[in-house]
Amino acid sequence: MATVIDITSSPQKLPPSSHRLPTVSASDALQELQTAGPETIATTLPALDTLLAGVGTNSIGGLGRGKTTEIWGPVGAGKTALLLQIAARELCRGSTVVWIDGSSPLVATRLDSAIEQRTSAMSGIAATQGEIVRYRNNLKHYRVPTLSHLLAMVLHSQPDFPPSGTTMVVIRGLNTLIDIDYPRILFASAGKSPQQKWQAGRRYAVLGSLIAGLNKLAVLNNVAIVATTGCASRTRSDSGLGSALVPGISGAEWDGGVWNRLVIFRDFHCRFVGVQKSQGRSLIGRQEIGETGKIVAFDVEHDGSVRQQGPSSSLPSEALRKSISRSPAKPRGRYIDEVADSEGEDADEYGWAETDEDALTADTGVDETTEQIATA
Amino acid sequence: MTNLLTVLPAFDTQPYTHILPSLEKALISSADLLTLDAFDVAKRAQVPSGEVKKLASAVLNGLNAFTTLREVGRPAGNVPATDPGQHEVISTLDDVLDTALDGGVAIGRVTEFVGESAAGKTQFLLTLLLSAQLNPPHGVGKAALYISTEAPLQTTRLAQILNQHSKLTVLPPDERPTMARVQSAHIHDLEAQDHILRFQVPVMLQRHDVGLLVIDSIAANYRPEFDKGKAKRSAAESFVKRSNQVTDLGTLLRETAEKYGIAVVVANQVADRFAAFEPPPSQLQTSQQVQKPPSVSAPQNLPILPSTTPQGTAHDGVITPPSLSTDDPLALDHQHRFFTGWGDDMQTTNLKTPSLGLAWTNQLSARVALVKVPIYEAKQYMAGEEPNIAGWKRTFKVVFSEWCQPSCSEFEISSGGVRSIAEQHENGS
Repeated sequence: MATVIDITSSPQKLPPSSHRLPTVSASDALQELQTAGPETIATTLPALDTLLAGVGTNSIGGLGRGKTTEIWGPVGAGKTALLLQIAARELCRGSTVVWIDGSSPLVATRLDSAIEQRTSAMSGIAATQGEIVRYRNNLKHYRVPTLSHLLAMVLHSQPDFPPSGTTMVVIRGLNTLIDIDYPRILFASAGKSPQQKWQAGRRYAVLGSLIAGLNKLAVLNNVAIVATTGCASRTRSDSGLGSALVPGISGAEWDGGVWNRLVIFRDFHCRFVGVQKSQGRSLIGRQEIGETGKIVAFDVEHDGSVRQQGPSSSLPSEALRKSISRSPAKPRGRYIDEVADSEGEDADEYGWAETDEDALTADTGVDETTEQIATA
Repeated sequence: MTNLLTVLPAFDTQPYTHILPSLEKALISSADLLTLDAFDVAKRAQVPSGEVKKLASAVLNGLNAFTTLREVGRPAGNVPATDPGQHEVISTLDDVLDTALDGGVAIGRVTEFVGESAAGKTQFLLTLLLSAQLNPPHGVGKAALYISTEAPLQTTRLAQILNQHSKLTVLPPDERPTMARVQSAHIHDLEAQDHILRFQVPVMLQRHDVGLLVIDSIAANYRPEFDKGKAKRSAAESFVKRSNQVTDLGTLLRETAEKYGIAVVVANQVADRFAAFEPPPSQLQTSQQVQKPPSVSAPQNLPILPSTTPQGTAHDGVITPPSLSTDDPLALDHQHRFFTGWGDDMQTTNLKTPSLGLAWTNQLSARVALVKVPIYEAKQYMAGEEPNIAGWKRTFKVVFSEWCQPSCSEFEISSGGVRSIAEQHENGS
């Protein structure tokens, strides 16, 4: 006799003699998901959160916990300002934030100022000095002078690191650390000994170990790791354009390991955040150096707070193209015309086109980047 | 190990002297020791793997002991802890400029003053040499060290500022700065620069209780070097080598600033830059606004570009959404406008770029650009006649900074030093 399984019941009600796998109802699973706590850390820019959210999920978008995000951009663009605001929000919600400075230490007054603004933005009333100190004490600040210190912290982490209650780990100025230990070397120089050749490849191997270690730390502790880097420049001689800014850290393993990549840059009117990689998928072509991806506008007020500008949704690319000046050398997107030699052919005689398309649009994983000589 | 003692200066290498030379020869660094398996390292350097394991764990212990938890704002090294809320600065002795810098030039960081020749860089540096000697909040009550690479320290001008600056003359004699507390040194070339900065400067810092290190200018020793005797280097190789040198220099200065708790202030030179920026046709057609007050209008050979529409304000009743100004926003030429100090308003045509490039810019904690724009005589000019320069408009522009917001202020140079001009305000960042 078939046992009637009530599909809305919880697994415990299954008779022990049943050999069926215990099932969890969809409503139970959803409830569990919602009560488990947010899986993302809000970026305080609503349009950016939307861009970072997964397609078709109910979850609120943001910096994913258990994942690593890379934020890069030129000096003074606003990376630290945005991160401070995100961190202040976490601190004001009672979480702990680990802040690791690689190149130069954070200015204490900026942190206090960010906490002050966040508390008044969240609760509407100004924070007391005691509250500010309490929130500030939840920020655990580490100063790592060299790459080795960071590697010791991440790859061979102490049992109490990160402290309990941590939701976010910020590593600031990562590329400076890498560049000191493993400066860029021109591959083309001849006459290298085997040791030198091996050493030349160490930069990317160490970066690979680092991102693997960071991802592991993120997953095991359910924290969002954010690494900021400066920029380098790369020539674009093949497309006839001048040099463009590229992230200070690159490499196949590193690029593959980060979950989101954001670029923050300035413009005449305001600043922008571009989403170049989100949800583990690269949003710009592998060869497209200088592309920003979808962008969100923001500005840094005089008190240091970061506010989104413009509509709450991100700017569609068509709306942008209308009023901007076209770079004289940049090639315009060409529309692919029909090729002459496909005349008369029936597109899909055997029904292969559909299956091909499915294969093409399936998740092929992460692109690998090819190595090029990077000049700073 | 090529960098072991740089990473852990206090590390005891005695137990490992038998394997360290082999590790060095195999070009193994401390980061390699932490990321590679001890067996692989041992195989590569041909040393016993047990020894490598011991070394790796000793290094790890050393590193973990160093990376201790610290209150934000408390410096490491030999300097006693300060109140986290306090932020040590060296004042510029002018209230408006100090407000722009949130107090002054920050301690423990590297600040750059960049500008054309005769823009006023040296005037600021000389003023800082004196204000560093004042007690907090204007200074740190310590001596100053001035390193010159081109012209030696201008002692006459320094004495003039000391005797005529409005804020210094009112001080009682025991609080006034003195010339005796300003040490100076000269660096002739690049090799000497690295040696002096790395080895001799720390000795001088401690011997004379120095709180401010000034280098005037940082770019002078970087000239194209022609290798004689070696194979001709390709341009790309020289460029990469130069970038690495500059990165090392920046790292050295930052470490010195942080370790000894001093402010490092650097002067830099500029080169011309030609940007191919075509203003979009829509902007030229909008109604033009008067840019400058009538007394400083220049003869218009170029069309006046209208001021950029500020964000979110209603223009003809329509709020313009924020948009990119070009479809190639990450181009180096375009981004140069925002971190060099020249070009972040669309009107400027005379663009300058600080020397030593992007690699150097990445090393700085703050950049102050001293922008010098000629003021032409407002009179009737005949066709083809060169306009007469009546004076200079000098702007003190904080381009980026780790501790304060970007800003622009006008200033002038006088016999008593530099002072801001409060009456005229400028559009822009």
